[in-house]
Amino acid sequence: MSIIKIEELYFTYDGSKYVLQKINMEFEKGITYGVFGKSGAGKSTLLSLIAGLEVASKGKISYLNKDLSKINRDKYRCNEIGVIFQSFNLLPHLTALENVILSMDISDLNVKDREKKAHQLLNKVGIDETKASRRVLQLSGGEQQRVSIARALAYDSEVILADEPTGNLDKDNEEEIINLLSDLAHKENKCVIIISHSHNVKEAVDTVYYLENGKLKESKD
Amino acid sequence: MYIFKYAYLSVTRNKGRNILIGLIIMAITISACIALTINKSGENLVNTYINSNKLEITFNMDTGIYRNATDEEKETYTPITIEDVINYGDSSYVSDYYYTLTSSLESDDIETVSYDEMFQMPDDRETDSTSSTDTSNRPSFGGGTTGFSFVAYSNQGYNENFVDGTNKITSGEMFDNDSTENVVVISSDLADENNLEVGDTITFYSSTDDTITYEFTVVGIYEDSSTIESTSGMGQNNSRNTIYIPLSIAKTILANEDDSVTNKGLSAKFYLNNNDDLDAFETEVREKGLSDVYTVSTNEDEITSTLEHIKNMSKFSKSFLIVVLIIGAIILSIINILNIRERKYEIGVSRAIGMTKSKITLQLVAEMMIVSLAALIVGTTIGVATSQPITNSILASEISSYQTESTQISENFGGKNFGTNTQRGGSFTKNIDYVDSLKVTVSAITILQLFLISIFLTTVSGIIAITFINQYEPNKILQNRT
Repeated sequence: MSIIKIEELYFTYDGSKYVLQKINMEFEKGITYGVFGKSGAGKSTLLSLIAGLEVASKGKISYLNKDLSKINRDKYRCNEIGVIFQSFNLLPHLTALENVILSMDISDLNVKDREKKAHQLLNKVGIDETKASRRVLQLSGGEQQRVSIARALAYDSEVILADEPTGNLDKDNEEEIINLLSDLAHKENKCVIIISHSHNVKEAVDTVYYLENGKLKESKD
Repeated sequence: MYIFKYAYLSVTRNKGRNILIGLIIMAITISACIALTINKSGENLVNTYINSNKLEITFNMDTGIYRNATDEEKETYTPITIEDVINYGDSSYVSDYYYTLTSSLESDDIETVSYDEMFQMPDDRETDSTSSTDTSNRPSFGGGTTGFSFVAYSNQGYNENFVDGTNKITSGEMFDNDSTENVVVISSDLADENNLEVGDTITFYSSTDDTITYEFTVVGIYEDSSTIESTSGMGQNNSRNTIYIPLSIAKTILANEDDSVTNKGLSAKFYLNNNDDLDAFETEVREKGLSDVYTVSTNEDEITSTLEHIKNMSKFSKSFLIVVLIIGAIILSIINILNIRERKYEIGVSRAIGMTKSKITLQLVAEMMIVSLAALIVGTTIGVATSQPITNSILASEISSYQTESTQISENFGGKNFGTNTQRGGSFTKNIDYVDSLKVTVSAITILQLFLISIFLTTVSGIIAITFINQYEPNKILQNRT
C-alpha cells in the first residue's frame, strides 16, 4: 500500500508556466526512491510539494489517503515527514543536540527523556556526545548532514525526504550517508525519497524516477 | 513552554545583536524613568500644595460673553444676589464660604487720606502750611469728601488684611459679626487726618441721595502697614480709606441704593471640602441658577505660583517622554525589521520543520521581552540613581531663568521692583519665593508605567514580526539561501 500518492499533479509558480505537469507517482514504505533529472527539471519543486511546503496547482498529493491541501501542513511537516536538505538547514546558534531536540519539541512526540533519545539518534548517525554538544557551525559538512538526518528521524516519521543529501559532501561521506538512508528504508521500514544528481545514489536506490522539463519520463524498478 | 527555552538560548547566543537592542531599550527606559519620575514628583508636589491650601472659588462675570450677547440674552443674565450666595453655599461640597458687601458714602465731617499725606515725610508733618518744603511735584490724588470705601464681611474671620497682619487694631476693637449697631473701624491714617478717636461719631450720606444719612461711632482704629506700591492710591482705592462696618449695616446701606449699585457691591468666595469636587460644585450651582455669563474661577494659579517652574518642568518631562517613546518606537521598529530580515533563514528553517507562524512570532516576542526586562531593570536602576541630580540641575536652571526674567522686568522699571510675577497674565503684590527643591521618588506606579512602556515597545516589535513572518514562505527563503 502506498504511503504517498501523487495523482495528475500540475504545479506553477507564476500561474502561467507549469514547472510540473501530469505527474503520477506512488511511494511505499521499506523502499528507497530516487528522483533524478537535470537542473530545473522540477525535482526540488516536487520534493517541496511532497513536504507540504507548496500546494499543488492541479491534481493532488495524498499522505495515507489524506489530501495534503486539506490538512494542517505545519503538523504534517513536524510529525509525519522528515526532510533532509542539501544545505543542511540547521539552526546555527544551537548545538547539534539542541537542533534534534527542537524537532521533538515542535512535534507532538511523547518522549520523556528527549535528550537521551537525541543522543541515541546522533550516535546512530555517527555523532558522539562531544560533537553533539558543539554548535553546528563547528561541525564539518558531513557531520552537519548527519545531524540533519538525526533531526529528520527525531519524531519517528514514516517518510524521509532528502534533497541532494550528498551534494555538499566528499565521496566517503556520500557513501556513509547513502548507506544510512538505505538502512532507514530496509531496516526500519521507512519510505525514503531522495532527490539527487549523484550516480552513486542512482545505483543505491530501489526505484528511480526521471524528470524532464517537469514531466515524468520513465521509471526503473 | 519550549518556545521560551529557545528564546533564551537565542538571546544568550546572539549577544552582539541583543546587547545593541538592550542598549537602545535601556536608553529609552532611563529617559522614560527620569521623565516619569520628574513628572509624577512634580505633579504630587503641586497636588499636595493645592490640597494643603484650600481653593478659593469665585464667580466672575465674563465681559466677553456679556458684550457679545443680544439684548434678549442680557435680560436672562441675572446678577448674583446675597440669597444666591447663601443658596450656593448650602451645598454638601462646600466646607465654608463668605461674602463681602462694598459700598461708598460721602461725608462733610471728614476727608479721605490723600497721597500727599502718605508721601509726607515725618518732618513735613511737623511743619505748618507755610513750610518752605516744596511738595508741588508730588502727585496729589484724593483728599476729598468722597471715596470712602465701606466694607462688610459676612465673617470677619476671612478679612485677609487682618488675618495676614497687614492691618492691626491699635485702639478699640473689631465689632462682632452679627453686630447691628452703626459702628465703624477706621484706619489710623484716616483717624489722624481727621483727628478721630475711638468713641467719636461721624455722619455720612448716600452718594445718590444726600437726604439719606448715617451716623457711625468709631469702635476701633487699625494700623495699615501695606506699602504704598501695594495701594492703588486714589480715594476709594486707597486702603487707608477703607472703613469696616457690620454686615447688617452694609445691607441697610445697599438696600437704600439702586439695584445696580447693590449688585456691584457683592463679592463671594467659597471653599470646598475637597478641591477635586470643583466640577461637581459648578454643576450644582449651574443647576441652582448661576447664569452662563458667570465663569467659575479659582485661585489655583496664585496658590501654585511658587511652583510654576515645577509645573513647567512636569509639562516638559511629559512632552519629553512622548518624544522619547515615539523616537524609541521608530528606532526599535527599524532595528526589529533589520533583525527579522537577518533572521529570515532561521525563520525559514523553523517553518520548514513545522514550527507555526504564531510560535515563531511568540519566540521573537519572548526574546524581545527577555532583552526588554533586562534593559528595564538596568535602565530603571540608572534612571532612579540619576533622576535626582538631573532634577536638581533642571530646577536650578528653571529658577535661574525665572529670576533673570524678573530682574529684567525690574530693570525695565529703572530698578524698581513692583513685585510683578513673571507668570504671564498674573500680577501679584508679593515677590515669589520659588520652591528650590523637588524630592523625586520612584513609585510603584512609575515602575508599572515603565513596565507598560516596555510591553508597548515589545508589542510594536511583535506586530512587526508578525507582519514580516506572514510574508515569508519557507520554501522561497530556503531556495534563495541555496
